[in-house]
Amino acid sequence: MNAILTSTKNETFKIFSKKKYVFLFLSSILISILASAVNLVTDRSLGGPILNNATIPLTVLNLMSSLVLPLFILMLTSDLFSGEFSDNTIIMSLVRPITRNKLYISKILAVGVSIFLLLLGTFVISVITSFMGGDFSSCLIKLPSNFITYTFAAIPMLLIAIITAFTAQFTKSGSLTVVIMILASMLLSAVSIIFPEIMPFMPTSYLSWYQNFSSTLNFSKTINELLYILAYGIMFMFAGSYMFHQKDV
Amino acid sequence: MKSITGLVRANEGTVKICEKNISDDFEETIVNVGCLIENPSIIGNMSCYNNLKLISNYYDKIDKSRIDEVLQITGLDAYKNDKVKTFSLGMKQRLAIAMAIYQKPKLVILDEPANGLDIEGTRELRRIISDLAKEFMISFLVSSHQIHEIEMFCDKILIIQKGKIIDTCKIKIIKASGISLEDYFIEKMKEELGGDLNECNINQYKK
Amino acid sequence: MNKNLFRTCIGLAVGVSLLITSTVMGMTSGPTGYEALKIAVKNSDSVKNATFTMSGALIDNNEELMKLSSEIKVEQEQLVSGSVLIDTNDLDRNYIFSVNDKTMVFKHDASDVYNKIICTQEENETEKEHYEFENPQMDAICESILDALVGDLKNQVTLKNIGDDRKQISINLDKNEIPTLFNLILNLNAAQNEECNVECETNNKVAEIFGINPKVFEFPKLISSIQTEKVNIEIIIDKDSIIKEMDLEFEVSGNDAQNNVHNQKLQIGFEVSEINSTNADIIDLAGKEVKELSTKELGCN
Repeated sequence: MNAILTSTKNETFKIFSKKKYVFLFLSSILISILASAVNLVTDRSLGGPILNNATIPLTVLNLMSSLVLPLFILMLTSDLFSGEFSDNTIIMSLVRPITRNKLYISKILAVGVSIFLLLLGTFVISVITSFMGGDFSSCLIKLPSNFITYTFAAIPMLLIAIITAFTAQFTKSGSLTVVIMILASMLLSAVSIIFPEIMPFMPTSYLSWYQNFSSTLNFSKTINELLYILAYGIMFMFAGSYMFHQKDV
Repeated sequence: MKSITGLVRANEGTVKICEKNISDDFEETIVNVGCLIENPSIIGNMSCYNNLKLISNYYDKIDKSRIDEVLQITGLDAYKNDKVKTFSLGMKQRLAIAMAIYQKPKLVILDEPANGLDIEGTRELRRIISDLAKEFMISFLVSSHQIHEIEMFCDKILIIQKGKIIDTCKIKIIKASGISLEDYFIEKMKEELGGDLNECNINQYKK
Repeated sequence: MNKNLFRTCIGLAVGVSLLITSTVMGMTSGPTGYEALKIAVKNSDSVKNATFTMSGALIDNNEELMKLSSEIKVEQEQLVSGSVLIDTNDLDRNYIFSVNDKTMVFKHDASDVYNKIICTQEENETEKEHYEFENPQMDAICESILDALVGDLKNQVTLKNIGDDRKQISINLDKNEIPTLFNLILNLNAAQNEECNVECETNNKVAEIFGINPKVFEFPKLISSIQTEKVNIEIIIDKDSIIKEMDLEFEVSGNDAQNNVHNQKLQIGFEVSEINSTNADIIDLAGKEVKELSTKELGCN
């Protein structure tokens, strides 16, 4: 357990020491500021705000988790896994007193920490900008439910990380992993439109699971979808970890 | 060497270091081992110090002042805060060795350490290895094609041909018998391959 | 290595069994509100014979601008009869009408003249051709696209058992839950030009034929700061998932041209009854004063 914690700390340090991730992190947070700016501008020109102020946090979250976050996670995870194989820095972590399985888990956890921090940052910024538009009381009422929604948004994002980590075991190049994941998700979306029967079995249909928490909670549906997410998470985690264990450097 | 450190899976056989089996007790076994295999495995966009700090986190029992200590041993303390990607190959090798000896291992594995180094770098490397071996009682397992290098600082050699150990011998004994290590090596290879050594034109050796 | 393989297999087995469990759970838990709504719409679409009773009101700043109530009996696609009552401050009219094959007859209570319109052959055929192109695959794709567009509004549709094998589907959206795009469209629409175009001319002609002065329908128009305050939809379905009752309430606030704030409400109640047992009351024109109208002025159906 200690080894996992130490390793997670190390991997997180590695992530944040890379300039490009700090840059991505900050620019992702800027999007919420942008949303509010758009709102204020349209208020004047169209006579009414486009975005309802109380729902800015949720709108921003939807935008982030459908576009920005998955890309961020793809890049991050593929760099941590296949990127380290390609530039040989993986050996540094492999000859330390930590088993390969624990190293794998700690890398995923490090990605989880980054996701969480990014979501937290977005939450704080979007809540502040939503207050700026007025209607203080309705924003305040929604605050706890928004916070819960943001927290649970990390879970489907973590699933993306786990699947990407699995895919990364097949390639030695970070960018190839990203390309494969993007192509695979496009293919899955196309197939599920043509054959809607397979939709419940595709992991991509649960990426907006957190939306269950933004309105009246349908308990059984939420638990059902959570089970799907858990099932895929466990399967890909074990499969990826096994492949990492067997991989020859 | 990669299979000794667990980087490559062995199909059969076991590896035991200090009486611990590497496949069963990886964490406990690898604490006693440091290695530098092929290219130095270091993170380019971090400083020297940070690279060492990362690995120091794995060894709680060792005080962080050891980082400065190893930097001094390998002569890198002046470059403590410089980004590693600006280093020459020799300096990267030295950092990799610093990372290998940080945890005061009993065994350090070096795979072709002088590969790509200039004359000064090679000499520096020899000095560091000899000093460490004598002062800290660390065993070094060095693989090399540079037989003259081996001659200069190793105590014992192991000749391997096609995965089989052909011969082990102490260097002192070879030197005492008057022949060079190179000749000794060629003779052993000839014996193993049955006298058919391509273009090698060795007729006799001095006893 | 064996230990690792064993552990991985156990992990995969756990994952697969969780997958199976959740699939089974999904199948047995019944439809969500949104799914029930989709099923109800599809089933109700197939109803070809029923009586529809509708009542509606348009209220502005708590003042009732217009009240509308009607009862329409549909026996078949081309066999329909009904009555419509329109009540505003300036108008109070009751219309009766019937459609028999290609003939439509209507009259309002302020006159004794029956208006008759006969549809020509060609126009009917083009409509029939249109329906033949539908296929289930296309429907499935359209449905997936609709699901994607609806997004998280799906969670706002709730399903409740109200006894007697009947269920209630409710959609209650307050100001904060209205999708932002909706408000944007309302605002954009209002900002458009007020000039009378071709459609406007046709509407005026229609109004004339029905004996109504178009000025009667000039209600305060909202042109800026339009915001949806509330959307309430309650649908009651029977055990065959056919819509029996529907109540809609739509509340909007905004400013008119003089910058006065208006709060407008639209309330519509809807009931379906006598499914597959409706008989249309076809108006008998014997001995009545009839005025024949040309289809070119109106357009059929």
